[in-house]
Amino acid sequence: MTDDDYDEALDAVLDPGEDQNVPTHLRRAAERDLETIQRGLALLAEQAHRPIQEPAPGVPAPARPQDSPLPARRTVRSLPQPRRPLRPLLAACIAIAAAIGVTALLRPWHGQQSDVAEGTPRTTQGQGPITAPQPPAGIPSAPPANASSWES
Amino acid sequence: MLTPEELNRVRGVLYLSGLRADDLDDAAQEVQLRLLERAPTSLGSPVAWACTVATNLAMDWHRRTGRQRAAEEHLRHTTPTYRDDPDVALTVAIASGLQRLDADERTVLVLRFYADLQVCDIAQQLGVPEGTVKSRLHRATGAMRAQLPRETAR
Repeated sequence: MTDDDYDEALDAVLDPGEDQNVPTHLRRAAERDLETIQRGLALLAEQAHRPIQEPAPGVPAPARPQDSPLPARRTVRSLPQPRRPLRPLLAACIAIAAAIGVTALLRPWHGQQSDVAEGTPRTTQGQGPITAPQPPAGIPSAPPANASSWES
Repeated sequence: MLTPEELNRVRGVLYLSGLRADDLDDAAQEVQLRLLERAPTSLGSPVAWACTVATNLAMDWHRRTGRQRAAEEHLRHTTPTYRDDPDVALTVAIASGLQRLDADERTVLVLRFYADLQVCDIAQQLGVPEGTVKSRLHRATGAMRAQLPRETAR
């Protein structure tokens, strides 16, 4: 068949209202070509969805932008990324350091309270020098050993 | 609102029109946005309207960015390499054929044979006479047929 014959058949298939006096074999050839083109377009268009992974059986598919009831804003990609959470080890170190710092700050105050109430010497974890006990409030402290005013 | 299947069809139209990756996603969202803003009145089904809007967006994208060559490169690079598979060979042929068409021919071909719109609907939506659509369709079909693998061509 010539190209003109085929073009005529193609026109007849593309526009059924056109001339119907086209040989059957030409019409079928044109129809087959159009079906092939149609199938090829569908195959090629499937690649538009290829990056989306198919979910495993029983696992719900993640929501895609086009599945959401409202279209996503176009500025989504420009939004800043959320901060990454601190790594557990780093977070634990920070927590320990904070605890040590708070303990160190509170220790002097806590020690004074204990000394006043109990009148007992305070040591620094048993390693520091033992200081003289502080007298209760209202009682003057003992003078030094060489103070003459005390003897008189 | 379009169903997920209809949205996939719209994405297919955009893909066949040369859009890829982020541009395709943006255009698909734009189609949905326009669908919400302006309900289709001229065509019966929303998906037909959406497919036409998708082709218009693709043409605008090509004009605005001047990336017709880039689109052709996209089509060329997305073609699979396993030519033993008849489906893959057909996909290669279709991609090769699409890149040889001009934008108008590609639009009517995709709308007619992928979006399944009738010639009169395409003409109405594109604002051109039916004869123009037919002639573009004839040229596009002939060009595509020339690219078809031998075993699938006539």
